Amino acid sequence: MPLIEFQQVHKNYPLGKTIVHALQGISFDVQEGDFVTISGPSGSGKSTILNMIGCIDTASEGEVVIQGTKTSSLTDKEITELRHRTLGFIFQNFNLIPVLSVYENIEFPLLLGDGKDDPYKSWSDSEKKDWINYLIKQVGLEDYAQRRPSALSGGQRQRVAIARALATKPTIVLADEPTANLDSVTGEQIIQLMREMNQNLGTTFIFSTHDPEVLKVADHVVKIRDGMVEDDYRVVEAGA
Amino acid sequence: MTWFKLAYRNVYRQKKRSFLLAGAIAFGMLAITLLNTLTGAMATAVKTNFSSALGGHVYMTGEVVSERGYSNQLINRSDIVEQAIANLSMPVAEVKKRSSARLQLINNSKTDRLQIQGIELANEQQLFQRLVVMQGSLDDLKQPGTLALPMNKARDLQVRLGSSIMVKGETMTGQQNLLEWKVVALFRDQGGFGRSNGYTGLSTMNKMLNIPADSFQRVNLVLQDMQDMGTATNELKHSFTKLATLKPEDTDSTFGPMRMMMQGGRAYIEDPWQDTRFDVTNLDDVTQNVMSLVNGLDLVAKLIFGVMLVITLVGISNSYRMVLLERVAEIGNMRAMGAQAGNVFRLFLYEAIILAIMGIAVGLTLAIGGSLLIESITIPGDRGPARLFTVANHLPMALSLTGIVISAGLIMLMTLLAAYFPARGAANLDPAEALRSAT
Repeated sequence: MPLIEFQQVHKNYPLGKTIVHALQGISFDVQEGDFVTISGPSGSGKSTILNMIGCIDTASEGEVVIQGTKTSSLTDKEITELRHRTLGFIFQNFNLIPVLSVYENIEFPLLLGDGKDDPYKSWSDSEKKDWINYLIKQVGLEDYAQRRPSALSGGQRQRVAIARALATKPTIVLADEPTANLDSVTGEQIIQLMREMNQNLGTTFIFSTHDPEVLKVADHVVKIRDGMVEDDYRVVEAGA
Repeated sequence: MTWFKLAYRNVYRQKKRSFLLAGAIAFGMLAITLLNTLTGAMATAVKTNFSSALGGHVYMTGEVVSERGYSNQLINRSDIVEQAIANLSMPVAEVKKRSSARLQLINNSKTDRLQIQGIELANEQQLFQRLVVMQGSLDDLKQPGTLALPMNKARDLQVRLGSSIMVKGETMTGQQNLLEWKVVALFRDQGGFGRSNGYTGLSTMNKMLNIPADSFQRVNLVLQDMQDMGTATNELKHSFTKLATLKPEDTDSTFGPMRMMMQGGRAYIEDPWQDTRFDVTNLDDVTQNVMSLVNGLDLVAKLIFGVMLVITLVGISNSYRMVLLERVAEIGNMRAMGAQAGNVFRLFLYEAIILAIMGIAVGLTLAIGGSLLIESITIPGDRGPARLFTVANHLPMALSLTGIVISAGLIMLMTLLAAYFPARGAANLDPAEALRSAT
């Protein structure tokens, strides 16, 4: 069973007096452990797809199925629980909480949610601490754990965002143009880091980009143009 | 608990924002507490001053009908009074039997009128604490035909300690009486609005009024707790109804009880009664008019406070809305990471509660400091409002626990109300919209 299924998904939204057809019957699958790139030019519908996988936007037509569950049938509470249990987010502009330190930002998702099924709910304080410190080490910020985001560079902030997205051990991490605000060298490091986490933890990464260089590291590419799937293929060599 | 900790951390880390919000709440608490304490102090001062001037909290007067059919202020049944007092359910600090009259004092060519109280020296501890004897001794009032005068009156009459003056007045039945009394004490009165009485022994005054030496015109009760005066009045009325005759309720004038006590009354009675007819009034009856002024001031203060409250409420609400706008990205982020809408709502409300607690604590501390400062200020003036609304030239600012609890509750409610709608707005934010607006 695919981890994610897009079944003839349409997304329309009003813009002034006109209706924008952001997605026009999109269908594709994502398998568990994939390192997926959704690529395409600006305005092609990449972010809309990620928002739908992240259950923060709904389809006008068609169905988005995550782990066998049709997201359209879920209540707001159930969707929030699904997001908390299954998904991690990395944003283009980092979206770190400015008043919290690096450590606290990564810890933050562990404090949210009421789900009894959350695996970390049974962790002791020291287990949580060890896990957060492990993530900090993985993203190479051991010396910055107590710093606030304002004292970090763009690349460092995005590393914090990656660690935060992985804090709840989600099945899927969504990254919306994670390198857009970074220089090319830092951007490459960030993609490489996500790839390592994908391989080390088995987490499925789905990220949008319009940078053709990034496609080289993906093992599954979905190309979008004008709200339709232009191409959908697996690159076995890239993941080898 | 997690959300409360998160709220505390947000408040603690956002020092500038928290300072401004808690500062607005503290100002509200300060204003309401100070206003309440100030009006409370004025009311206390009025009651204390009247109590001091009138020599007690509850007043019993008696009327008898003379052979010619006129009413005279006199109590000739001491046993009934004592029985009624013994029936009281609350402790009584002092029982003061008094007779009094407004008399003309004549010293050579100088003349003046003064209310003179005939007192029993053994039962006037409160009065002796209030009077500051400048010359002579109040103990000498035990001697018949002696008088204690306030300093200012003695100065006006050019009377010295030890000199004798002529005292002219009316007997209870309206005949002129002229006696010679010796001045044995000169004093300064710390109470009574600067309009002090003169004092003589009860028997000396009775001689002026031409009533029996062991009789009296009224009894003033000083209760241990002023709050009991309403109950005490009702209990005494109940006793007098059973033991003697009680005067029907006087509805003609609010100044009736005070006039009766200060001047006595003499009127032709068409339907006479036997023996003594009793009447009981208390400080609240006497101060009714003045207290309505205080209550009016209190109402104005509360109206001003109400307007301030609305302004503060709008200010706090707007501040919360601004905070909400600043934190749209954070809210979208939290929702994306799995925070339920209810959790976001609780987070904002908890932050408001923490800020309210901080604001109330700071506001209360400032109010206590402000009260002490106001109390320490000496308000000059021996007459008029300055004397009426102060005790010994100071405002008796006493913070009431009930007042503080009500004020704190009101401020907490106001803050929660101000935060409720922004918090609800934050909880209902569409995560996608919130995240889009952050980009």
